[in-house]
Amino acid sequence: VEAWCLSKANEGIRLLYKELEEKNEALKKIDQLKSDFVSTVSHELRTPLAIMKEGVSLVLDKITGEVNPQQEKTLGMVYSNINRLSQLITDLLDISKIEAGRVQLKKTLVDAGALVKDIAEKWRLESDKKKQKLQIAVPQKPVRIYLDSDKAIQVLNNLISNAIKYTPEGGAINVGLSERQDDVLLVVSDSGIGIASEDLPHAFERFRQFSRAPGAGAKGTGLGLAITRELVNLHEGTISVDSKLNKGSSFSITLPKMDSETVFKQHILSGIKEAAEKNSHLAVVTVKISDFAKLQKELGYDRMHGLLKEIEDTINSSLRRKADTVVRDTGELIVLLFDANKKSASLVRERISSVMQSFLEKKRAQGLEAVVFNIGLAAYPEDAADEGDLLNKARGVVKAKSENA
Amino acid sequence: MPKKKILFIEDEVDLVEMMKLRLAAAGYEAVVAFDGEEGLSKAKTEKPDLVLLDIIMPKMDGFTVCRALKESPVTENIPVVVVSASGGKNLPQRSFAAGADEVITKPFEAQELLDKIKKLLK
Repeated sequence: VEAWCLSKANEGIRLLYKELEEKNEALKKIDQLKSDFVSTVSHELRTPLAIMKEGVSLVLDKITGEVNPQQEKTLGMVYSNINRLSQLITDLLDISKIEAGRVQLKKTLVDAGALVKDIAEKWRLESDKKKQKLQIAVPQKPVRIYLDSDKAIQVLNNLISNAIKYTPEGGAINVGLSERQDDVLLVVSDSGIGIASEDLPHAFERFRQFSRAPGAGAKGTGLGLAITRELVNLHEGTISVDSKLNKGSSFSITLPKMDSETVFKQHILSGIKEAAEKNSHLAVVTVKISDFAKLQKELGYDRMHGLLKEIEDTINSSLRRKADTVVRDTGELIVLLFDANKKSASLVRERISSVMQSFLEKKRAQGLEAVVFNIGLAAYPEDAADEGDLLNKARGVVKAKSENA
Repeated sequence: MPKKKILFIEDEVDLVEMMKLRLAAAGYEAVVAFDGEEGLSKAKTEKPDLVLLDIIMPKMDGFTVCRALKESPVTENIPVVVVSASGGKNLPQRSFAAGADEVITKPFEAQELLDKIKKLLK
């Protein structure tokens, strides 16, 4: 009787498990449909917008004939609202991707100071138009942290464009970056119209446009700050705002400093999770430059950094698959190949190895000393089940030299 | 100097009409095709100086057209500008992997497109 009961119970558990799995599958499908829906809709919306935009600009550019000033003004308004709608679509797509967990950061070692300065300078033209005083303060020495630079640029663009938009003519805008013990602090502040204290707790919520100027002036999409917060969160950073109505606003972002090993492992872990969920594979290819410290000493930081960036770009352009990511540290690059089993990953490794060799050959022709690199490969679940083991397995499996191309 | 010829492969008829005006005003000769297959064959017969290429089209998508253009000795040297509304981050990556020379997303600024064309025709 006991055995019979056990087997019944087992059967029950098995059925329950099967049902759960089926429901899980159904949920995943719905999630996929939702995300496909958003991207299809955004494509379908952009196409007619493109036609409207081109039509209006044909008239504005007087290609279709003369335009009187009143018509020009009216069409100018249509044009800027087409741009506004187009930005809204981009923002909606962004936020839906983030919410669906489909945004995978591509962190590389970046000089955050140079990045902030570079991006903020690009806004000077806009701030000059409004006779605003734009001040940028970053440390003299490089502030190297792991960032997804595309996302960081998006965050900076959002905050700086908001500051310019919501600050009257002649106001001041300050963009500052400073390095602290465990993190870096970015502050974007302005002397603009500010946010009322009752609205402040909702500043990062979607479609909360309280601080916008009534009447004339550029309007936002109401998603910029929500996206900004999500992107900062993805970086494990914090964002906060301090503001007084009619005095100005100050946005502060902190981003943690992480060592490369942590960043590599984070990337691999999220890749493993994704692969496990889909019952799929994840392959890790490591490319390590030998004698990196010595080489860097000879070449200097900037040249070495430039060389690594070139290597990263070379590898990136050789990868044809959709979801590959490359993370770069001072002397090592890690390439994650999603849905790649060991066999298909070996082919990719061969390709990386051959593009690396021809790249280094070219560099050698330009006078660079022989650079030796090790290229390794390991795949989940074949070789290892966790991120640490996978990384260890991948490191230093096959050796290759730039000489024997 | 003869006018440079631009082939615009795009299934949206209205956009094609407008781009004909735009390209003519900028001093180019415009030829058009309304799907990927027609585009590919016109690229071979018309021998344009540059191709503007949509991605999502009937019969043959733009990536396939682009690869075919770059693989054929007749058309491999014609610069290709991808003009697409699928604004995903992968669009540039996938376009360049297919051999495209430039990418621009819809809705685009006409001037930006003309600048890209000019640069490639130099």
